[in-house]
Amino acid sequence: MKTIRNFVCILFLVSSLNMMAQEYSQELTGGSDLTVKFENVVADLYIEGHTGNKLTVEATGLEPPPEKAAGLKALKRTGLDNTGLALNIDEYDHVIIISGGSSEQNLSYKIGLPEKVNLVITNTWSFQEKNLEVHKMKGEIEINRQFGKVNLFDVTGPVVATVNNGELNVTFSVVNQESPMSLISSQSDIDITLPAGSKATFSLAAGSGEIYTDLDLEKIAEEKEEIDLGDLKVYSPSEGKFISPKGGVRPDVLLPHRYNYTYQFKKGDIDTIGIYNRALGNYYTSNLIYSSWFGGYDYKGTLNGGGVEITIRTQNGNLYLRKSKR
Amino acid sequence: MNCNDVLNNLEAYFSEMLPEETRKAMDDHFFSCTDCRKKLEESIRLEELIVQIPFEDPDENLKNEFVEFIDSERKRIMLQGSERSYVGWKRIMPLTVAASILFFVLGYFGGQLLSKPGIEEEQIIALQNEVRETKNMMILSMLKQSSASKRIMAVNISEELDRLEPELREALFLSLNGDKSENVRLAALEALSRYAGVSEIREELVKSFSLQTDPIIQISMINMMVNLNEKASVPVMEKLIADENTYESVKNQARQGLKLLL
Repeated sequence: MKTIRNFVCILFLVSSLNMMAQEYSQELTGGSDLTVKFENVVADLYIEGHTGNKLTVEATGLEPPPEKAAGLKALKRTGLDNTGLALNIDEYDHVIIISGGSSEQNLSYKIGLPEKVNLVITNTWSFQEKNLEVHKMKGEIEINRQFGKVNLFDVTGPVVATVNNGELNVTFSVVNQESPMSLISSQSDIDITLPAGSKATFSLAAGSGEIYTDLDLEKIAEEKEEIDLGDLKVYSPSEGKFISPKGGVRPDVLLPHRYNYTYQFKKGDIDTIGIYNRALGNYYTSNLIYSSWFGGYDYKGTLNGGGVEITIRTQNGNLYLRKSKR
Repeated sequence: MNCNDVLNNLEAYFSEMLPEETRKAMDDHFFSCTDCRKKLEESIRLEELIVQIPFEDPDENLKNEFVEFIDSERKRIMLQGSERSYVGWKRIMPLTVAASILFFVLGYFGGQLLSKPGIEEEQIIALQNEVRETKNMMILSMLKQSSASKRIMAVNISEELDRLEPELREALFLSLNGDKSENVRLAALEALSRYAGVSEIREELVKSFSLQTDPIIQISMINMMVNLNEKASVPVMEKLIADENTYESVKNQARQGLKLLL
């Protein structure tokens, strides 16, 4: 009696598992010229690269449509559900577009992709905190999301990602040198791990947060401007404009007391605004966005002599840059 | 006219700009000097070859040579010892056909120029202009690519230019206001901020400030406007503070910014 009950239980479990995990698969032609774009798919996504040429999708937590929908198909953002998994998959000119998912369900997709394809994942309107994980992809990865955590493991990039609310973690297996990378968050931490021997040229800014690292970065000195003091104008708050003070500019005396630190000068034939660095006693055309009154700065530094340009910006989070531990 | 004069004018020989008398003097010289005639024939053959180049991308080696040439030119003449990383150039694969042919022509004549002692100042300037034009063209074409990383690369190259042509300025503002990647928009803002001293660009930046909806770009704009002492940005900041959709951190930054500006 007990064994029969166990048997029934197992049978039930197996059949319910079958109902829970449903699969879809499609051959893809093309490699690095192919882009797979997830357009506002509302579900947790787990994407993994493989050496084959198939796109596979496995859905978990998919609930059946209502009885009234018998004989009908769900209409998703880009078209009808043509996978049976609440997803529409369509192809336009070397771009595979995937849309769908469901905000009502606890839905997740496990997706297998040829590792060489480029990946674009956008979710800019959903306020749901869906998670995104990408493993072992070797093409370009572009991510644009407002909410939810993003984890990229063993990727090569180039990675261009904006994750405004939710951590952004990237572990590089190799740092692709082909074209620049950019990682942005306005509210959250950005955490990057890369092989210690990688070549890169970083531009790092953490707004009101901090930057932490164990990488041996070498600072790139700011470009010093040779300025004719006769041409120099400084900003006078009382007059509300840039002026040439009588008797010429004496930055050591005038700037700290009566004038703001910004100054105007001619660089070639171009009017340029620069920042006076009081500590160094020199003029620099620093980046106006980060050399700010708010204490922000833009650290430019090279790793192993420099390489691909990697720009990382967070406003209210911290920035972590690590050596990989293997 | 001696051999040196003739060789220095060799590339001009093919242009309509060359004064008739100089051409005549060169012709006379070619008549009497076998060496120079040989050089001329080589150049003519090369000209023909250039015309015959089929319209397709040159092979990888050739392309790398051009890129390396421009690279070394740039190091030697244009930026005089600047330490910027230049990896980007070597990696630009999808060059336009036009750009690669320009590289070829540039490479050939540039090489000729530099192989001789006593380079004329004007020639260097002409070469600089051509390099700049080529860069402009490349940036404009790269900004249209579907890869966000390539578009950032285009914006980064524009930061190496010593001036911003109107066409390129327009393209950068288009990126700042309309690119679908926030990363590209921020890169465009950082590039444009270098020209914020130019009053027209500054006005455009204030206009653009009122269009931005991404928090990190809004905050970057606030920082920049404060550093620029730009009073015209005050209404935009006030509006941001009043708008209930604005992020709290953006509002805080705007409040601080207003204190510094007013």
